[in-house]
Amino acid sequence: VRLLLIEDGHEYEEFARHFLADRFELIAAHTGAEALALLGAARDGGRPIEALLVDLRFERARTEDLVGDLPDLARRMFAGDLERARRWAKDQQGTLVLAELRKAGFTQRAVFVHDFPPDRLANLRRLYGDVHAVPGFDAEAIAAALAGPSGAGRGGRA
Amino acid sequence: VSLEAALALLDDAALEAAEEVASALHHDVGKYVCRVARNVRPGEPVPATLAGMLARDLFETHQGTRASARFESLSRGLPAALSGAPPLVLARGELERIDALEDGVRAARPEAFAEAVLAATRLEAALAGFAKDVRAEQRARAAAGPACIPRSRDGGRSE
Repeated sequence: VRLLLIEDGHEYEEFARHFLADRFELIAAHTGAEALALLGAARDGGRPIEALLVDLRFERARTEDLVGDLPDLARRMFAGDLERARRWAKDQQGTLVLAELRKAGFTQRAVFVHDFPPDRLANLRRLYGDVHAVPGFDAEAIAAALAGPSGAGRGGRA
Repeated sequence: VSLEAALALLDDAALEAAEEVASALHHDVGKYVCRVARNVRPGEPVPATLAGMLARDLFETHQGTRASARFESLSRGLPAALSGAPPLVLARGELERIDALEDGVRAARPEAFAEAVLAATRLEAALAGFAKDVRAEQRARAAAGPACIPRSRDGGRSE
């Protein structure tokens, strides 16, 4: 199974190389744009990526790399406060990246390593389809979530 | 003071700020200290190949800073009423334990590994519980009335 890791640093990659590399072929992206490019290239090259492991918080990301219309977010959610909007976009970047990927037609299973409350996870599923979450870096649980039924094996329809 | 009582003292804005910090503590400290700890059996030796990663989890976890430093930096954003909350006291104790083990962990001493793994696991549990309790209070208030409605986190696209 080809797995795309999407994070702002290298912690997921280091974890995956130690604990998941025997079960997944690992590919890493560090911005939403990079993730889109890698998914597109893999699909066009006939070897689609089959699952996504996505970090939620991108606190180290450069503002110019963030997915999300900051002025619009500021206006809609933070009374025009651009700094709060930027902070929020970093805190939630994983879901904003996932929204972009879905918009581009990539429907692969996405797994977050995050302890989402049940109603939040339900909302993410309603918005973005095949989404799972594992509360911590538990390799067995993450592997099971990534490879479970109706997840891996779907290459995206774009 | 129990966490429940301390949370009850907060107004809605302070509770929202506490929720942001609690979530960051769980993510930046709790989750990352356990990248190795969650994947080794308690009491079993930590393989030498994981020694460097375990040291990074504990002492270089957030942009090169130690977990305890990240914890203190984030905790400063909490309302004063929560500073002595039991889960945070517990977390601080585990972090002190972890820092005291640094030489042993860096020297790959098996007993230091074993102790650090246990402390990291307890630390994650304390911070996960803290985040969950703060969220629960926020949700309870939202359910009780319109004064405190948590903002949708999914790009404003709520149900």
